[in-house]
Amino acid sequence: MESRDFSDALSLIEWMKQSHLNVLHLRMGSLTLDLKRVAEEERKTDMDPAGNIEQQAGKPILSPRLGIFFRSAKPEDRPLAEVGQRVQADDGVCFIHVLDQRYCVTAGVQGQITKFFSQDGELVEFKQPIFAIQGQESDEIKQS
Amino acid sequence: MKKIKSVLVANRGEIAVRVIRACQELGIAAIAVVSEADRESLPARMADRVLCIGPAQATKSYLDIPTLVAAALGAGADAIHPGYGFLAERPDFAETCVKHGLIFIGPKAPHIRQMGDKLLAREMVAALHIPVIPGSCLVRDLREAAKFGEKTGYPLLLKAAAGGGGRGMKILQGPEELKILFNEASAEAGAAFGDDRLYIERYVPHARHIEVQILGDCHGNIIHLFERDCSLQRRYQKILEEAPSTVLTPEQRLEVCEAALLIARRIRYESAGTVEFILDQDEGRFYFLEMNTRIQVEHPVTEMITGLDLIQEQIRIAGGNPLRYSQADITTRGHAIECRINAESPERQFCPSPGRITQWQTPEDPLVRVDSHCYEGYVVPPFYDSLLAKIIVHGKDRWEAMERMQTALSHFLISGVETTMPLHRRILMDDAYRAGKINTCWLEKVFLGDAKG
Repeated sequence: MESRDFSDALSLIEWMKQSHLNVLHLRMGSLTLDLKRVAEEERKTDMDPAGNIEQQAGKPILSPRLGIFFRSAKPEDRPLAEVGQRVQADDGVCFIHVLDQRYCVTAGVQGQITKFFSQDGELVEFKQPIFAIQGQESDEIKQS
Repeated sequence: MKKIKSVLVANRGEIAVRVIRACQELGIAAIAVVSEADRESLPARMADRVLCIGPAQATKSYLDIPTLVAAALGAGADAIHPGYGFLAERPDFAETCVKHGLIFIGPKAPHIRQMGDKLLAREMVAALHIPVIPGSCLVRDLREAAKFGEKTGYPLLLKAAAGGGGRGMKILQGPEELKILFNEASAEAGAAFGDDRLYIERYVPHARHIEVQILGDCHGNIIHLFERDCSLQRRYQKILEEAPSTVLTPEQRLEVCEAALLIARRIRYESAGTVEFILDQDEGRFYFLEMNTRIQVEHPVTEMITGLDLIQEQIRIAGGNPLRYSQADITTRGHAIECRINAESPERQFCPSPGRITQWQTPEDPLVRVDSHCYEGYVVPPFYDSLLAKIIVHGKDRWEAMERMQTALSHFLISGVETTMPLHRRILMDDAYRAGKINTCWLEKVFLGDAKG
């Protein structure tokens, strides 16, 4: 590795520290860089709403995209899931509407739904917490 | 037409800052959209509201049309400003905005489509009896291209039908190069624009890049704001721009501005746009190059000599207001120069230099303007283009503007990332540049060739 490549790698590490990324794979010519965040940083900004969620409510599940939050496919339908309901990782919990497209958000983890953070028709941002799940076997959150 | 009270700025970097500022000066709320990589950016700090739209990857954030339009609707915006780059010249973006009741702050989708297809644009302009560079229409394959080369002789320029910016563009010195480069250019064009069609035209070696700023409203009023000279380029990317051009005679200026107006009037163009020409310095003739249907990076140069705020005018026009100026109101004063400062290393073939900015001290002078999204402590992400800042100076003449730019460059202190400032300092001291004896190849072939940039 040349010294310039080394300083570029340092710049990338510096940049990643400031970002919200957990993993970074980079290949440039013969140089391959794999970075992984091992400890969650203390830094929580106003724009990191996951940090503001009460932990006792369970693990916040983050919206995989920006769009309009709905708990049911149509207004007259029953919500996909209710607070207190036990869900499997691949159970649908709510929908995010992006113009004419409707995306189903799955629980991502097995457990009990403890809270919804958004109301029907509300705009949610990318990675905004939309509901919380109290995990059973694992607290690990797998976002699809 | 509804009144614009809130604008979603569908871009990042310095142009997002520029548009947010223009909105706020007009009393309009500005909504910034940011990727995950830009949460801490200046546009996010300045805007009245910030929405995170997706991951760092531009295709999933700044290029995602449904998400941007959903963000605008969800946040109650009346209009979307696309800035430049990203979706600024995508007719489907303009159409999706309008379909959902949003005002697109830019030209109508058909204008973007017509001028975006460079072959269609050439045909339309040629029909107006405005010279286009002698060239072929579409060349379907290598055989057709070779036939054209035999007939007209070399050097030739191979270009993508679907877009500019140097992508898919190749200079051909002879038939051997054509064989090697045809497929490469076609593949490059296909990758960049999703359209691999190519056309060939005569290559003009001693050319100046002259472009005319246009403003049009929805009432049929169209004016020009004179020209910019953007001949200092590297790999077809502009590095330094100035206005007015020092090589034009008053007759040539009139000719080129009138031609630009004719083209814009032909399609009843709305919003800010730029008609680009090549001035063949050997023949003293102009040729139409292309029209860019967006606000351009170098727009501040025109603002400095005319006193207009082009972004504010774009917003007013989009709101249905008639132009506030007639052609007779537009005059120029003095000379302006813009230097684009990129986070790149001129010593390492202009390799990008992302990282944390540890020192950021801008020059203090009322006649120096710095358009930037950077600040001390800001981390330049590696995902996007490397423009850090534009320094724009005004002087009573070109000489004074060059002196002021030199002072500004020496007082602009940036540490932590490598920048192209040393290159600009050297250009400003170069005798050929100072004498205005340059062309579109000069920087790459002569200046960087000699100085081992």
